Amino acid sequence: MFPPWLRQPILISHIVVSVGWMGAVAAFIVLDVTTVTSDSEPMLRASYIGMDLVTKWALVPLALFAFSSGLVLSLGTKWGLFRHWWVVVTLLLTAAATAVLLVQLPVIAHRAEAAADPAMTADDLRDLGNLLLHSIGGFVVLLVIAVINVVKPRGLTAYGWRRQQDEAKSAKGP
Amino acid sequence: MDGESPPGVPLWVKVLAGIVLAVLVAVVVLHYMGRMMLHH
Repeated sequence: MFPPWLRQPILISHIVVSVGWMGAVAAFIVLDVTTVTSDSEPMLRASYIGMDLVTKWALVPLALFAFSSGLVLSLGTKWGLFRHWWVVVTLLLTAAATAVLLVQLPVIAHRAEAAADPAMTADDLRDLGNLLLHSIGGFVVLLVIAVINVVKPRGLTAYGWRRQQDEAKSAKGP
Repeated sequence: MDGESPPGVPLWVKVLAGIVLAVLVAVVVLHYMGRMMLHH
């Protein structure tokens, strides 16, 4: 188990980065909505290129750090990784959100490359499409994760229950 | 506690799993419906 001097900085980093991830998704949604609503060619170009930059330099680093700091935190504290349902559920949701983000990376990069091409017209740029389903869906998933992490709903897994039984037996002694 | 059976899956996990599954099915159905409408 981590001592408090180590646990607290990791916990603070995890919270700050996870909330930052949500903020970066919000910025991405703003650009994504612009690609749907704007008719202006410079705005469309800037939005697609901006989405790529936000993804590469904010979303991906924040997602990877949030996921890995969550792993480290659960393994180094009493919560464990597979002992409590709320940890298992948030782990699965975070892994899914990160995986979807990584799968979308080439799509977002391709659109940014197309947007940088001077031969592309405003209509061509609009036809590139949007990622609103993924970006808004991703924000909702991150919101659900945040709520579960704060509330920490009760519920031991079968593994967690067995570990608790073993620890209770060893505390009683032979 | 000795001899008790391990706890089952909590209700909130089942409800959340149901919502996630329903959303995934709805997204897949809407996606294919949209593609079919585009082809016709």
